[in-house]
Amino acid sequence: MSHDATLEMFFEEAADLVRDCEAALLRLEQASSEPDPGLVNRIFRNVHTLKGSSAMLGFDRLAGVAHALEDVLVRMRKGEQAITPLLVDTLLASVDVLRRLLERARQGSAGEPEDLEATLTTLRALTVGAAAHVGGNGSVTIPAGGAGLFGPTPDEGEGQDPDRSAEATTVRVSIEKVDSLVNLVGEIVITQSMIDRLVADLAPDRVAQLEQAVAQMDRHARELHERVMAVRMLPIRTVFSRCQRLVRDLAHAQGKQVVLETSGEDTEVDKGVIEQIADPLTHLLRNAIDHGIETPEARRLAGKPEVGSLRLRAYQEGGNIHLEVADDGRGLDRERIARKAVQVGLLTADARATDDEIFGLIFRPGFSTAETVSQVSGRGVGLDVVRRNIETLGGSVTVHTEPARGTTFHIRLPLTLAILDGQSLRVGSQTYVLPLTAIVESVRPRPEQVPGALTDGEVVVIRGRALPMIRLHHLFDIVPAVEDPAQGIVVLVEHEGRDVALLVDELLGQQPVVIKGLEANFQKVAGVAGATILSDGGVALILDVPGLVALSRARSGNGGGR
Amino acid sequence: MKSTVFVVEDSRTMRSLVRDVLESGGYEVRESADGRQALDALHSISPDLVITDINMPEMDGITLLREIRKHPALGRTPVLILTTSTDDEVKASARAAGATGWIGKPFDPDRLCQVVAHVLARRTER
Repeated sequence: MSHDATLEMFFEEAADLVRDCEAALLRLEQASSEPDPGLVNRIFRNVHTLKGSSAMLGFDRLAGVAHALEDVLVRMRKGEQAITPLLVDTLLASVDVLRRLLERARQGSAGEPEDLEATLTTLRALTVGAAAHVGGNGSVTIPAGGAGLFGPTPDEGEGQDPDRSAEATTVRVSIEKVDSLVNLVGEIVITQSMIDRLVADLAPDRVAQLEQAVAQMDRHARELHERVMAVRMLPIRTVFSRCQRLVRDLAHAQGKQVVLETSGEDTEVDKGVIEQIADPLTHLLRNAIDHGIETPEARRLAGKPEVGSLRLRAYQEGGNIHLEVADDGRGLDRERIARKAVQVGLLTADARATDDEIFGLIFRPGFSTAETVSQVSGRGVGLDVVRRNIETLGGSVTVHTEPARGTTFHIRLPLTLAILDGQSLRVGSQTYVLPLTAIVESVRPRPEQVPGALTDGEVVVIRGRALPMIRLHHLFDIVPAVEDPAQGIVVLVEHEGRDVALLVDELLGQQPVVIKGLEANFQKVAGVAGATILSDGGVALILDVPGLVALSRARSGNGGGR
Repeated sequence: MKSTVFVVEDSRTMRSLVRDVLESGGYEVRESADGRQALDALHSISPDLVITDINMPEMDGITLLREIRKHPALGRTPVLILTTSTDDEVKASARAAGATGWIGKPFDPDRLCQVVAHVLARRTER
């Protein structure tokens, strides 16, 4: 194995070890009255392993911190060191230093984390007479080359040919390789549907045979597709494991007591989703600790346990992944939200809105009822960003709340980002695809439902509500196309909690489509999320609703919105 | 025929470092990440030499060593332990459990090969 590959392996392994140390420390802290010796052992083993390989590869500072940490852990193992919150803080800080040292080592950057010295001093103060020869800059020199034999070698047994090696159960594959497989399989699916169409026009005597073969290929292609997609799936554990630390630190900073329970860590999610869901989840957790869960005093007065509960749950249902962030805090304040909504002009003072409509407002841009802006949330980044991030992933977020009982945010995400259920539609000679999840309903309006242009753009009236209408043929300059809405179809799509109507010529079929990025060959096109190849071999653009609305607003000044 | 060395070590970095050294020294290398897995695999591999780490999650190196010594067919296989060289306590208990020798981490590649060659030579002389 090349040196680079060894280093890469070391960094990956070291990151795993550090993460596991952190998780075990947090669990140790939660049960500090009855410390689990298994946890201390686990941390010790990880630190010991890290020390060994760091020293082997010449990362002396890493080895030094690991060594100092190991000395403390040895004392904990022997019961000579009590496990206190302060100790856990120190150990967590040391783990952070290890992580920063690793980052620096990986980037090959010089210098050392500023808290390295302080951490080492604290760790050493916890142990009496550390055995290593620790240098002034925290590097440790563990003498290399030692080896020895104890005594006579035992007699050999019967020599045998090795016939089998220990089997590896996992394999690391680069995401590029998997993506190329996903693309290839996508092509197979497309070829299959092309053949399907051709068969329809074939000589009658061979049709049955061909149909059978095609059906078989269809089955295999789909199975292959599913299995290849599964390679991209990772357990959501990697995201959840980071949350424990976050919740702990935030709760401490706020003087609140919060226990985070997680479930469904093994739920598998597309790698792309994993990468992009961490931010929104973090935000919701922060939000729950900042605004949901009360201080211990307030909770006591309300007759609740002083320790607040946060639950993070993941599960799969059909083609969707569901995530829930639930707190047992004070719940959302309907009156305050309504007042604020009137104040910023989202609601008229006499409007009668349902609970869902009121609570849905918290996802609107610039909407925050927090009376004090806390250090961590409410810094101008609101739930609208959470919502936008989740919608970018093709998902949705809703909120359910009960006064004094708590608030639950529910996130629904597609299982994969590489394929979506599409509705194809026609505008002039062009075919487009809309994600099926974006569509609320489709109607052919009667002439009286289309009153013509108002000052702030065209509308269509559906069940008494005037909805902004976007003419796709205008947006994409397609001529000729259906101009009269009563001759076409309006597709209602949801955008930021409101319905928007898209005027198209007609609806075509629904089918799963493989998303192809355009970035490699084209500049970013507003309103277009990507492209796909249809079963007739033609190319269709996949529309992106937020992009369409933005494009329409840009075109007409304020045409798409209100 | 190449001699087979069975490496038991939970750190994949350390495992691959040992493997690299031994393979370039002309040995056949088999490996396992844990004592318990190693014990299962050993029955079918019957290596000429076992090198094992001490601290491992499921079964530690000393326990593995004792199990090997108890085993009728494998009992006489030489076993070297991989340990941090400062750890005299571990060395003493490894010796008591029947270890052939020790290799200190971090190890010097040449020294590792020398010790392995030495142990295997003693084994074939008999």
